This record gives sequence, C-alpha cells and structure tokens, in this order.
Amino acid sequence: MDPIEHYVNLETRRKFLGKLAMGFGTAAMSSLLPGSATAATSLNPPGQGLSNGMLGATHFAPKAKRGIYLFMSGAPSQLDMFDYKPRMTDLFDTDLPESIRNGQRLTTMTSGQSRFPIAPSIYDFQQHGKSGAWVSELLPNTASIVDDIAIIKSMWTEAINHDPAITYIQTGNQIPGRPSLGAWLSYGLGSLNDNLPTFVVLNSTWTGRQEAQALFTRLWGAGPLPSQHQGVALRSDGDPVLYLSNPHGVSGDIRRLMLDGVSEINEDIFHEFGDPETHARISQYEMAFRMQSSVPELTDLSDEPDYIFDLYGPDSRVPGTFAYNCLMSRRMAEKGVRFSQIFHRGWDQHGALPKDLPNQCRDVDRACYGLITDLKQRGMYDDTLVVWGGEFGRTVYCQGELTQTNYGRDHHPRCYTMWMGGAGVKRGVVYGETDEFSYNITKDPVHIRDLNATILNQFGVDHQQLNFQHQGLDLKLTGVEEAHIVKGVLS
Amino acid sequence: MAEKKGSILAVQLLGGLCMVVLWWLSGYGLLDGEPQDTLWRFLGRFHPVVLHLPIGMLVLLLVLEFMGLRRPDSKVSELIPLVLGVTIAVTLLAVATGTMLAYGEGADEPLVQDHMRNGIWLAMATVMLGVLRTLPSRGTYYLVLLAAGALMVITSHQGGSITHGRDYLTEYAPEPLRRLLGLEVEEEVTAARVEDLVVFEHLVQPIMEQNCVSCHNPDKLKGELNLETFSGHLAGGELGPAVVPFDVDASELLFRITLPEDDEEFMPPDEKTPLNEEEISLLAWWIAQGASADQTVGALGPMPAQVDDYVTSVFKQMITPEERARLEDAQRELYATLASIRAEYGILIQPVEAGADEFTIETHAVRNAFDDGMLKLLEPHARSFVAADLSGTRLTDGGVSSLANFVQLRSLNLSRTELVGSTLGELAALPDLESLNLYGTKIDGAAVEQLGQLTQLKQLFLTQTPLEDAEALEQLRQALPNCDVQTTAQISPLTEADKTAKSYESS
Repeated sequence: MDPIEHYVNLETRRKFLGKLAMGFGTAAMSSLLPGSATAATSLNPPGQGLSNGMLGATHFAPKAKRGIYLFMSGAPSQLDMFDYKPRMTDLFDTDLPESIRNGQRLTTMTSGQSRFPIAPSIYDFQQHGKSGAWVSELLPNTASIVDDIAIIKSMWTEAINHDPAITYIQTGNQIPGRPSLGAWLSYGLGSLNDNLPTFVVLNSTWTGRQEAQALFTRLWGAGPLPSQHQGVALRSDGDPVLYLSNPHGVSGDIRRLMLDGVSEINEDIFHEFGDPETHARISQYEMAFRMQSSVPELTDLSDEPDYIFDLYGPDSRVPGTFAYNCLMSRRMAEKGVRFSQIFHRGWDQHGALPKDLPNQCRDVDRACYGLITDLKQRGMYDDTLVVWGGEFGRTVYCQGELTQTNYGRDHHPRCYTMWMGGAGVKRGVVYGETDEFSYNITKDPVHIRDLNATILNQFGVDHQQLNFQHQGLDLKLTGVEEAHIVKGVLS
Repeated sequence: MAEKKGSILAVQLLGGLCMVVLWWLSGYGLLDGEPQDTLWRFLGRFHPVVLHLPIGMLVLLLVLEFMGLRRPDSKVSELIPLVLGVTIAVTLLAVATGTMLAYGEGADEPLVQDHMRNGIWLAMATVMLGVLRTLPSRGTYYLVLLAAGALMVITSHQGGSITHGRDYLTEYAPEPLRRLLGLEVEEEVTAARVEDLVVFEHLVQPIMEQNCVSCHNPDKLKGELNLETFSGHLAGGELGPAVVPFDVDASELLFRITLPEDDEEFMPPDEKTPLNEEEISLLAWWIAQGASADQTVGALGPMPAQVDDYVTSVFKQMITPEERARLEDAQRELYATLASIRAEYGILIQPVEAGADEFTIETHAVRNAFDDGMLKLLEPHARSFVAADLSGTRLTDGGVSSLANFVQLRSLNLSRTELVGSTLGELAALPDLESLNLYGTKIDGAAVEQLGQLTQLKQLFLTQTPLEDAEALEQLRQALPNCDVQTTAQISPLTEADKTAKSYESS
C-alpha cells in the first residue's frame, strides 16, 4: 500500500481534527501520487490474502524461489582466476600502453607510480568442461562445475574504492542508505517460511590477507524500507543470534506472556503516532520468538551425514568458514529462507598476491563445488539462484615491486569476472569478452546494475516496478539509470 | 444571335474534342505500376483536394435542375449554365489530378483501374451534359444527368475504398444491416476453452487483417499476394509461397516481418506499426506446427510461454463481457478460499504470477505438522495447483492417492518425506507432471515397478535413496527412456580425490 495512504488510514478522528491542515494536505497529496492499484493488486492486495510481500504476486512466473549470493569482498583478481590472457607472459614488465589505460582515473595507491609494468598471471590455465571455459589451477573444483554455471567476464562498475563499490553493488547506489538487494527481495516477495528470517547474512573467516575491509551492517540494511526486511546476520560462535535464548529462569510461556504485553503497549503507541516502524518492531519481536525454536534446528549440523561434509570439503566442519556457511546456506534454502548472502573477505591483493590468493581460493573453491553439487542432487538447483563475485576487478599492471614470482594488483572497475548459476541461468556459457590486457571490455558489457536487474528478473520481479516512495523519490534497486536484463546468460 | 450560335458550336466542338481525348485516355493503359518521382506525383497528390468539388457541384446541378422543372419560371434556372460549366471544369481537374496520382504513385491494382475508368466516364458524362444542354430537346440531357449522378456515387465510393479500405463504411454497421447487405457477420466466439480456438481463424487471421490485408487483398494484390484467405498464404505471391508449412525459415512472410525495421523489404512498410514479439512468435509457432487451416490450439504441439501468453490474452478478449465477469468473480472467490486455507493452516499458497489462476504450494513453515490428512484439505482445489513443494513433511504412501487428484501438477517435490514408494504408480494420473523429486526418501528397488508407470516424467531425482544403489535402477531407466533419472553418481563427477588434496597443497 502507498505509505502515505497507509498513514492517513491510521489517523484517528481526534488526531485528524487536531492536525486539520496537515490532514487535508496529506489526503490531497495521496491522491496525486501515482497509484499502484493495478488489476493484479486489486485481486491480491499486498499484505492480505495470498499476498506474500508488498508486490502481492510476482510480476511474472519466477525461475528462482531462493537465492544464495557468495560475496567475495575485496575484489578477486579476474586475471589469476578466470580471465586468461596468455599474451601477457611475453609482455612481462613492459609498460601498459597508454592507449589501453586511456587516461582512466586510478586509485591513489598506484596513481603516483612512475610506471605501470604488466604482471602476467603466474598460474596455469586450462580449459574445462564441454563449454571449454578457462579456469586457473587455483580453482580445481570450481573448474569441474563450469558446465553448470554462466561465467560473466564483462562485469563493470564506476566505483574504484571498496566502500563505494560494495555499497553500490549491494544497494544500487554508492552513497550509503539505500535498501540492499536482499532487503528488496524480502520487501517485495516476502517469506517462504514465517518461522525463519527471509534474508540471512553469514560472515566467514578467511586465510588470505588479514587486513581486510570492514563490512558494515548497511550492506545488508533495509534503508528506508520497514526494518524487518534487513538481513539477519547469524553468528558462527555460540548463539547464532545474540540474546535469542531465554534468560535463566524464564520459560517460553513467560516469554510469550511478556511479548503479548509489550505488543499491546506497542499497538497503543502505534495508534498514537502512526509510525510504521512500531509494527516493524512488533514483527521483529515475534520473529525472534519463532526463531527461538527454528534457528537452533537450522544451525545444528549434527543431522548432516559425512558424505555431505565430504562434498563441501573438510573446512565445512569448522564453524565460521566459508564452506561451513555454504552448507548453512543450503540448509536455509531447503527450509525456506528466501535469500542468504555469504561474505568472504580478504580478496584485496595489492601486494604479495602469490602468497595470499591461493589461500583465498582454497577457502572458497571446494565449497562452491560442494554447494552447486548439493543443490543439484537435491533437485534444488533448478529454482535456486547462486551468484559468485566481488565489487570490482584487479589491474593487469603491478602495484609495488614486480618480480618473476611476486606481484600485487590494484583496483580495477572497468572489467571483472563473476559467475551465476541455477534458476533459469544458462549452463556452461562464458559471457562477455575483454581486451588482451583484461583492461577494457570488448564485447557484451554487464554493469552491476544489469546484474541486479537480472537477479530480480529471475525472482519474477520487474526491476522497474519494485519501488518504494521515500523523500519524494521512487527508490529502486537499479536506480534511475537504464538497466538491462542480461538475456545472454538466461535460458 | 449569330454570336450565340457561334459560341454554341464552339462548346459542341470543344466538348467533342474533350470526349475523344477522354475516350483515348480510358483505353490507353497508362498505369504501369511503377512509381514516378516526377512533377506528376507532386501534382497528383492534389487529387484529394479537388475531388470533392465535382461531387458537390453535380449535386447542386441536380438540385437546380429539379427546382427548375418544378417551377419553370423560377430564377434559379439562370444559374444552371454557370454551375454546369464549373461542374465540367472541376470534374476534368479531378480526372487530371487523379490520373497523375495513380501514374505517379505507381498504383495499378484493379480497384484503382476501375475508379479511374469510372472517373473518366463521369467526366465524359459531364462534358456530354454541356453539349446536350445546348440542344433544344432536353430528354437525353436529363437521362445523362441521372446517369452521371449514379456514376458519381459509384466512383466516389471506389475512391473512398482505395483510401480507407473496402469495408470502411460498413465495418461498424449494425448486424441486421450487414445481413441485409449480404456482408460477413462476426460470429461470437463460443469456444469455452482456450484449447478450442482454431489457430488460423481465431489467432492468425486477426493479425493478418490488422496488419497485412489492407494491401494484400484480392483488389490491391500488392506483390500478387492475397492474405485474405488461407489458400492465399500457401499460394503466395511474386516471391513464392508466403508460408511454407513446418519451415519457418523458408516462409517469406516471417522473413519479411522479422527484418530490421529500417530494411527496405520490411513489412508492414512505411511507418505502419510493426508486428510485436508475441504476434511474431505465434505466427512462427503456427508455421512450425504445420500451418494448418483448421486445427485447434489444443490439437497443435506444445506452445512456447510467449505464445501461450498471447493465446490466453486473445482468448480473454474474445469471451463475452458476461463470461468475463463470471470468470473474474470465480477467480476472486478462489483467491479468497485459498487465502483462508493459508491463514488457517500456514501452508504457503502463491499464484504463479500476478493475476494467475495457477498456484504453487509450499509447506516449509508447517513441515512438521503437514501429513496426509492436511493434504486432504487442499484436495477440493486440487486442480488449481501446478507445483507443490512438500519436502521434509510427514507425507506417507497413503497420501499419494490424494496427490493423484492434483491433475495440473507439473512439478512435485516429495524429497525427505516418509514415502517408501509403494503407491507412486498412482501419480500416472498426472499427465503434465514433468519433475518428481524423491531425494532422501526411503524408496528402494521395490518401488521400481511403481515408478516405471510414470512415463510422463522428464526429470526424476533419486539421489540419496536406497533405490539408487539397487540393481533395479537400470530397469527403471529402461522403463522411462525419456526421463532424466538423477542419481548421485551422475551428479557428482568429481571422483579424483586429489582435487581436494591439490587445492590444499599451497597452504
């Protein structure tokens, strides 16, 4: 429902008379705002009947029921993992041609360098699967699933530093404060299982470079959307959700009684002020109460057989690892969590790439294979969307000292590699091309906005039609600029 | 007096000359169908500007003559020579511009030829009127005047038909009048089901009428092609058949409507609205399925989603308003009933998309409570569901007989339920069931006979069941040759244990 209309409906007569001018003002304004009452929503009004989320029903039949987003924070080096550039070997330590860089702005970490020597990848690349996709030796297990995924080599963004870039890809805007992808999905589509959060975030340990960028809760925040749509970050140690267990001496019945009492008081507050956040708070208390039984069941991996741990690799037995989180994500998808996002940090290889990158890759490689294979064997891969990638790419030229065995790479927004799979995504395709320096895109560019539009599309959502009125704007995940569905990776 | 006789003679001579010229023009065969980029084309376009003048003048002439006959002493008769003179002049002007227009634009279809011939005859008739009016006896004059009036009606109607299409006047004529005129009367489509629509008549033909027939009709026959009839599609035109059954690529019609819009060969030409994606996909589907004249939607092969959407939207337009209202009421009621089930039992029921009559079931939130009895609650609405995810519920073999009533199901997830498979054969009653997920159930080799009956399946998940290790598995694969039977061995190709080892080397 239109928030202003919603608010006006909440007004009591007393309040209406008390604030007459404002009352008339908002009533008139609500009739001027573009209505969302289409035939479809009148059949299935949001928040009532069969509706499950503010859209009432998906715009078109969805391919994806659920999604798992594997976020590599720090920007993985496409040059050492997926984007094979054999000619760079001959150009070792030669300067990157100005015609390729073409005056592009650089970060202050390398803009002062006197030269930009080319650092070829020291890793061996081979073609894999029927698709013949090139994958480096750092990802032997991912290489065995290339026929199940679509690799996009032509991702790009405008941001050149981590925080704006990750905020941009997560929320559609470089400036903090917009709702994240998961929050939009929760807001628009609602829950598949009311006993569990709709959007869950899992943070992982990592073994590469330990000085990594901080992750802020706003990356999975709800922005101006009602706050129950923000991601619920589960902890891997102790209680997955802090203070979820009842304190000693408080039984479930007493807790229930207390919640009912608090709800009543909150409802009174709501009637007095009409602030929708009060309802968000009530629903969060209720969700926490239901999670008291559903979350421990979710995070108790003791019912997983050994062959499952084998599938995800030995790390999957260690709480907090990426592999453990992948297994958790699959459990959540199976039990009706709409969207989970795993963050894995430490991909910011400015220097000592050969020391750190193999560890980073080892953290995720087996688990990615395990996740896809597990989803496949459970028949869930057809309606679960999996996305893998970071906020931007890395440069072909070396940051710092270049030797035959050691190099570093700076941030590179003009091209990088991500992959996606499952739920209506073509299997075994490599989409987009870059020039021989992996510096500029030569074919089928995919902006991060296009990726977000495509993700929404797989969930049955038209990215133009999922919006929220806030401060005079119709907020959308894809913003005001044009976004295109990446049809080339969809079946 | 001699002067007047002289001028009468001049009029008669001039009239005779005009007649000869016009007679020659009507027989010359000037129209060759080639557009001319000359002054003629520019001048010809003034035809619509002047053509209404002879119509008005001739009517005025008829009125004046009629009034003159009734009251011979009336002064109006004095106007007649002037009006007649102007009539002749503007008729000749209309013929001249019309001839230039047809020649310049390269129009040569039968309707234009007829219009031109009649126009010339009309001009001859008016010239003749001028000559006849100089004679003392008026009998012939009146006869020709009436004939000219009749010819004017016919000619101007033909002209209008060239511009607006032949049925422009009668398109919205009331039904009784249409019957009286012997015109085709639109029959209400009585098909109660989408499947009963005749693909050519109800789907293809309307697209043709909307977009193609204004040029490709028996009168205009642009490119010698007539798309008004079914046989015309197959017969085609100058470039061979427009439609080749079963062969989309060889069908000129599809080729021309799918060219880039700025291509010279693109159809429909000249800024006319191009066919949209759905219309094109429908035509492609119809051709690929054999371009039949009388087969119904139900009789032809499976429809791609886009075609399905289009057919449904056409069907919704075709049903009567009363029927539509009834369907909408029924839909609203269905939504309300399902919503009450959802509210009461916590089963997630969702329309597959906005406004759909097909629903999906998900039972995650109530999986520990969902058993055969709860499934029975959904049975009264079984036909509304196309997908059911009952994974992890307490469903047993006893519930399968209920599932057999969900005849619209395309996808059924029974993974991690308490099934052992002794009754799965009953699912053979679900004709559209494509995907069945039995992951993690206890079904074993004994279930093969039951599963073997499900020949409609395209995808069957048997991973992590005792059955996938049973010898009977091969037997099942043979019983279901069209089904992708998924087992652990097939899904997990990674047998080289060293892959893990290798990825850990570097640490």
